[in-house]
Amino acid sequence: MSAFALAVVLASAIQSTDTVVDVRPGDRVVIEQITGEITITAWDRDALELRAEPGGPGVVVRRSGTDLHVENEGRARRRSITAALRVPRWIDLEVESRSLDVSVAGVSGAMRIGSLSGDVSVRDVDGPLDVRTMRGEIVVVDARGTVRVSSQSDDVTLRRISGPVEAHSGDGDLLLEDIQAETVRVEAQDGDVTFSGTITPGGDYGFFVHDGDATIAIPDEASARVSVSTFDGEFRSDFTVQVDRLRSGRELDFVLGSGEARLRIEVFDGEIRLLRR
Amino acid sequence: MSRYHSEWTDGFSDYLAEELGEARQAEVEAHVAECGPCRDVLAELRAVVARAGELGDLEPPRDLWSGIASAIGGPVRALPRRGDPSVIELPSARAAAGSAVAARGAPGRIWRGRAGLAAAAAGLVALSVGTTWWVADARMGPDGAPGTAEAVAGAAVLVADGGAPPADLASELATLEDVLEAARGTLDPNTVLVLERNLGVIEQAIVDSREALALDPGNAFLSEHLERMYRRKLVYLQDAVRVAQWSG
Repeated sequence: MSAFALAVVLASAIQSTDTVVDVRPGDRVVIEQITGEITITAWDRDALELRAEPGGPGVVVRRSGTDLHVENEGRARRRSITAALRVPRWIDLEVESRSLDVSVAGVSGAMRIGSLSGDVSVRDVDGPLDVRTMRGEIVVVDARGTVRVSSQSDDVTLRRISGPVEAHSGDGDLLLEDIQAETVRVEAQDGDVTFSGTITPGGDYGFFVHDGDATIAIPDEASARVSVSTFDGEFRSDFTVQVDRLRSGRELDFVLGSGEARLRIEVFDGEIRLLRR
Repeated sequence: MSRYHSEWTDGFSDYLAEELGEARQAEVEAHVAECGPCRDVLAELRAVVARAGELGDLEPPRDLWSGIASAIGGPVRALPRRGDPSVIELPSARAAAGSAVAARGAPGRIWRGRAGLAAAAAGLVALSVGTTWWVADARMGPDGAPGTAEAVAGAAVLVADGGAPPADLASELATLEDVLEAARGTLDPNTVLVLERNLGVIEQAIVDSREALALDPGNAFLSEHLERMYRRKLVYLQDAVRVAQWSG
């Protein structure tokens, strides 16, 4: 089956489901316009394996240059599919779909996932990650590269992240746990932000909330210049706060430790809590 | 988490188009009869479909985004210009204006004054562990005087008079809004509904911020916050146009 598939792919033909396709260095996988649910896991072979639900709509692999396109067969475009991919660990991955639940595990290449609707779950990844969904929950666990995630109308959860973080939710809560990043930027229009993580000397941490609470838990020994601003809300602190500067309204600056990092917490309408981890 | 059930709402546009098949149509009707949030979504979707049906086949508003328009495909609709191009009109947000800030009361009453915090304004104050802290006066400066000139000047740089977006953002926001509006008639109604709901959240945040800034024009934090909301809207519209490209 594999040799046959490779031969056909080289001829730019369409593969049927339950397909194994050889993958070469520099290739990437592009998943487009699939509706339904897809699970992507890494394996230690330089090949792409596609398995689709028996009897379901057709899913095909089509090579175009270095891109391996995974897509519905034309007639099945509007039908929902359930499919599983196994890909080389190093592969770069791009997903764009109108309505698709995506689950990815073990991939170390760069990933871009965009959808109008659908939940996204990513685990155990090393490369840069960019996830944007208009409506759908995002969960990222054990990521070691740059993480950029945005859900316009659902919750975002990040756990055990060690690369730079940029997270946004339009209408949903943001939960960031065990974050060990040098730079963190979190923004929410309508939802709570909860952060628990380390503060690295020289790091930059920003939390910006329009309507919601910001709860920031940092180590007792954190060393940071802190700015806190709110239009309508309270500020609670586990730390002893010695005010260096009080600006107009509810804005103040203070220093924790020797002030080696930068920490900004700005909430328009909500409570700010600065807690000890 | 979603308050409605996306596994049902995702199929609503097909339901309205009667493309689900008899059995599935009946299942949707049964679910909607029992689920209020999904019923609301379906009602909104019907309204979107009705509005889409009223759109005519007109020319794109300009050729700047012709690439996007052609990618979207199908007829697009020209929009009437919104007057001064440096000012973005926010009709849907305006409709909701007056609720957010007014509900919180006038700014002078928002800040809960606290005896003893005059000392905090005066200089260095050590706050005890676990304390709750309030600032006594919204307009208080470091010396207890009204807002500083520095703060006022900072605010003036960030947003235009009246809380309008900075000039560099205004034209791009208007263009993107035009592109999305033009694409409306070619998009799946469910897609339009999602895009409109999300945009409503951002626009409400802009309205809140503008009203707050109007009441306290010298507040640098509010000015920066408002600008951040405009930039967030810009990013959102860019994403939405991208979605429109591959959803149309």
